[in-house]
Amino acid sequence: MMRPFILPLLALLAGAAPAAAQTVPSFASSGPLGHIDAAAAQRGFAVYEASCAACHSLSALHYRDLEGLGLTSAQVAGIASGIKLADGTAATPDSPFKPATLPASAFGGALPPDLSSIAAQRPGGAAYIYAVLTGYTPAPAGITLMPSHYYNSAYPGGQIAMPPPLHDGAVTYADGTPSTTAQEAADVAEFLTWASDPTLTARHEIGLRALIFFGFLFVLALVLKRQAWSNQS
Amino acid sequence: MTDHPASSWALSRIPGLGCVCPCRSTRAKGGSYLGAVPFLIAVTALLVLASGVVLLATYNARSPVASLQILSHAVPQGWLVRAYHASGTTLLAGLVYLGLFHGLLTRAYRAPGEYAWMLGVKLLAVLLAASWFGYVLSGGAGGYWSYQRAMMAALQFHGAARGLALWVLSGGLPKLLVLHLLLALSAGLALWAWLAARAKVRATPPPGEAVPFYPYYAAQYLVALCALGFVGALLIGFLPHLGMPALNAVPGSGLSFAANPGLPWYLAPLGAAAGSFHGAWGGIGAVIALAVTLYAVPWLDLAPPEAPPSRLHQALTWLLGAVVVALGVDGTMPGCPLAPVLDPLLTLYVFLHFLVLLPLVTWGRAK
Ligand code: HEC
Repeated sequence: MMRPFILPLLALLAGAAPAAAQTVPSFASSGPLGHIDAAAAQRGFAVYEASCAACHSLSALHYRDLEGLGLTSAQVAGIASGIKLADGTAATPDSPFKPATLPASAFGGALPPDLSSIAAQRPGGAAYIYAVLTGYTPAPAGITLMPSHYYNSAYPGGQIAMPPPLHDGAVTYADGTPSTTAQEAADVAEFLTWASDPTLTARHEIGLRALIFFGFLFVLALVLKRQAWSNQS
Repeated sequence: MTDHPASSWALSRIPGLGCVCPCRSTRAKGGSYLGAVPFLIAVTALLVLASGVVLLATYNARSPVASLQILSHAVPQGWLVRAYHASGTTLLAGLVYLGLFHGLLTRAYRAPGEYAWMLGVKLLAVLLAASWFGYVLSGGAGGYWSYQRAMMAALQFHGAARGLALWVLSGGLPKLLVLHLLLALSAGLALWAWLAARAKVRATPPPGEAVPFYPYYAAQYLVALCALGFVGALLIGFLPHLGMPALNAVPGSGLSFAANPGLPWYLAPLGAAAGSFHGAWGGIGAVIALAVTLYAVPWLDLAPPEAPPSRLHQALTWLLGAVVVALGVDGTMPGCPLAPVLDPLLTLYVFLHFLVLLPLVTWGRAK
């Protein structure tokens, strides 16, 4: 009786899924067993430095924290020494990330937010960041943009003060990955997910091990308890 | 089973130890797993206290967000200590709510348990107060604006009440940290007193009905402990922000304005009940009235102490539990359009349950 209803429904779902997957890539970090994809996050750091750092600070991070993404201390020292701080000296691994240089007045008072915990603050996390970065389209007919705003289908309200920050080839990846806009957006979203939750991988690993451990112990304890009480009665 | 000399030495000198330590000699046959809740509360409280002591070493009340970020980025396993404290609080509050609900369901408050019951209510009150200060100390925007709202409310008072409220709240996070510590210690003391009082009034089972603690109850407590570990791992590993307003991920500052910041789930029922009454005095009055009503439960229940609770009584208690959960769910969704209508109704029902329905269903049984 149910089949005629279920089959079209299934077909609908099957048809809908690939379409959704095309718009937002799947992130290694999403889901209960997700982990930070260190290679993607390293590329994402390159994107941040090249395309976001001028406007957005990342005040919670020090350069040494990048070792958490699998960089060696020598690599981190190299990265830091290439960054000129406001007083003209080079950064060291123990410096906090360099503050943004563009004044907020540059965007008519729309303050570029600090990105340290943006992935935790916005529902959807990495997927939302990706959607905003790739959501720039020409404004639909009938919509008048506010001065120095851009139409963005993923941003609540549709009008964002951030100019489109990414374009194909904005960075050259060290690992040779082609730097398309979508690739850059996905990588920087993974990097920002790591920035707001640097222990995500360890948390999921430890959590899973503890679940298995306590689950196993629970069953053992239950058997023990049953045995003890059956002797008694 | 005879007690080991060392354990009976300790038992005779440390009040309350018998309730948590698996060395008490006998218990009634066939106790339920919920009987292990006080033991689990004690274990969780130790975890929260210990992680709090470690947090103290790196926490800086003058720059809370930055110091917590250093803890979770730069201190090895620092994030885990923070997670123990946060998820431990969730577990602790959940277990205390559960323990009190179990007390209501089984009429554990009846004579001679009145004093132990009142200490349990006191434990809940002090614990919730301590956890509000902890929520503010986290430095998130939710806590920040909850604190600002409390300051606004204090300014509506006059005279001594205003002076007292402002003395408590002004001075910023360094003062709140001291109050958080004081309240946490008080919660520890209330817990100790509660366990001791429970151990004192526990009925000695009739000879045929008794079994020794070891191995029977020891095995049961072990099962409960494993379940606690399982739930704790689930919370810490996969739901670290369960029941926290999303807003609290934003660092608190004047920029992150929120008219209705929301509360962590364990404070939400109280927040929703307080919000149902007009003004700051209305809210405080509601909270005090709730505490007094809970204190008075042993005398609002008119049935004789030994009578088991009737079917109707138990059904009403379950309904009360559902109403409190509904209040909490409502309270965690700031700006829910139903709240202004629903919250006062649900709050009134809570009072109706204790002040009218409870005496009514137990009255007939008194004769
Ligand atoms: C030219 C300056 C500029 C650059 C470069 C820039 N942004 Fe922004 N960004 C802004 C401004 C301004 C806003 C605030 C937008 C608003 O309030 O309308 C913003 C907002 C955002 C937001 C928050 C959206 C929200 O939900 O509120 C995110 C996320 C973001 N930027 C990410 C990035 C990333 C990632 C990059 C680099 C790839 C980047 N931005 C590069 C100026 C910039």
